[in-house]
Amino acid sequence: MTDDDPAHLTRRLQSGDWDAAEPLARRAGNAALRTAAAALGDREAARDIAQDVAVDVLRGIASLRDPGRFDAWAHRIAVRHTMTALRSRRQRILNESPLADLAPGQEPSAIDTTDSGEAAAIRDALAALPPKQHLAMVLRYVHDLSEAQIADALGCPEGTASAYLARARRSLRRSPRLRDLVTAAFFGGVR
Amino acid sequence: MTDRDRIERALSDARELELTDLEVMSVVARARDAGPRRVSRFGRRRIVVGVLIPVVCAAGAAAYVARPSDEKIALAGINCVLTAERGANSGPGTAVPDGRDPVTICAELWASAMVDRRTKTVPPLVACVSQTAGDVTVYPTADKSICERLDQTTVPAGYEKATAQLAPLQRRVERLWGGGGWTAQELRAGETGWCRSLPIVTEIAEAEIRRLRLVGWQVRTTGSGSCAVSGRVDGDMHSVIIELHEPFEPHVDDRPPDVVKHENAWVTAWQEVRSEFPGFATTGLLCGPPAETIARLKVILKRADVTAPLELALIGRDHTIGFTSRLHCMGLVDEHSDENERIVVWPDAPLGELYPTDAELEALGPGETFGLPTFPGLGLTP
Repeated sequence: MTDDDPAHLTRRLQSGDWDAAEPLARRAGNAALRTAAAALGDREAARDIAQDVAVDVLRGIASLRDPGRFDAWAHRIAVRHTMTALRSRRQRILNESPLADLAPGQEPSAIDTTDSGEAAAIRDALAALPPKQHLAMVLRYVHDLSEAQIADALGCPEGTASAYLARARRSLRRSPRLRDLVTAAFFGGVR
Repeated sequence: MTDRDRIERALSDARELELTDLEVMSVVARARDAGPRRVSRFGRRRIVVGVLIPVVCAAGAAAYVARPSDEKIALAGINCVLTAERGANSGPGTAVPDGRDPVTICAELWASAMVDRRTKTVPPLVACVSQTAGDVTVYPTADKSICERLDQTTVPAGYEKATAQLAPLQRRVERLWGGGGWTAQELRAGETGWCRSLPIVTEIAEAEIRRLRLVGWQVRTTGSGSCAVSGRVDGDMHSVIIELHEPFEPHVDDRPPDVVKHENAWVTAWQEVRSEFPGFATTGLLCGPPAETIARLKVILKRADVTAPLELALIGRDHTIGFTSRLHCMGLVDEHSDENERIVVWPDAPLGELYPTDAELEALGPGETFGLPTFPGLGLTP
């Protein structure tokens, strides 16, 4: 057990030692920041979410039954906040600028062949996925979580998480904007 | 570059993001100001049983009393700390002001070994107010200059009167979400237990405002959603602030059936233990259990078809304590965690009474678990 062990820090905070709050806030906040930023593509919004998540983590630390599961629990809270933001943003976009109303030249992130264009195309394709599929991909490729850990974070059975990833990969594979950039081997073969 | 690399690179910016130090500090300050969403299960709720002060808990409210001099005094809580230094550990948690002198409140806690379980001797105490957070902290020292030395101020006159006026409102608001703690049913319900009906919460808070004859006070909301998830008393705004949130997703028990069956067997077994041994249910203690009691416990637990080793832990006020061979009291079994195969046992009395000898205290340490035995095969030697 080390001083930066989250389980140890959690026990300390649960017992009222607020010196343990800062490293836990940093750990949970950074993880949430990465999740939210990857999912939303908006760093400022992600920073707000990350701080809210960290506050929720500190305030709710007493409810964590198993300190050894701090990371999983913090991921779950981050997912909940990010999911809310994703849904809210999608609703806003639907209300304000239906894609069907856009002129052909206005479609977002038209493919180009530069690296940045490819990255943007991938991010756009991810953003077009249903929120849970989107978040499953983020948890996989930003945090390198296993399917079991993703299931834990999303609050679903492992099989469901696996299905989210499979569907997300299938959707990306079918995306006309990515078809020429990402090979089928990737979607069929990565972890 | 592989395709996996491509997608990871598309998200690489996010992988490296970090909160700034300032943001982290802000988070900690916000969390401290707001207090915990729910009281720690790790002892505080049950430890307060029998204690003289009205409420001892990590209070959820950050309420301030506006005083004529525009000074603010936090109603969030009174910290009875273990040492006379900045950032000292608050042993028993936070005492809610009840209209009395903070030194008097903390003296009671010291006298019941709630602050320092090794002693019931009440040291000289000095109360200070943090200039930034407004918390009242009571230090064990005779040094009257400690407040100034720590950049804090002494508790101003009128504090008791102010807290006496608003403490009942604060306590009533806290009780809307479980008061000093969550019920077992709420705990099992997990996050759904946070959701309260806004109209009902509002009605109750307004009734309390009327009962206390607080002129110009009202109930306000913050956030959005259909769930009222917390409440606090804001003396500056003369308001009870109800925080709203979207309903949490219902908890779906998707564990394999054998896991659920295993846990249910344990719950049933412990219910039987509690009913068969009144000491558990009435006093929360089973002291010096004779060998036949241990044997009977084993029979019940074995009937529960328990095959996995389980930990038996005593979660104390600020310590996680494992049963050792020297332990002679068992606390009330309060909760079975389905996450870590642990039976959590609450002490229902001040730890100073549970562990009266220095020899036993030596076995304990902050945040540590020592010599946890496993079931079956409970190796307790009374």
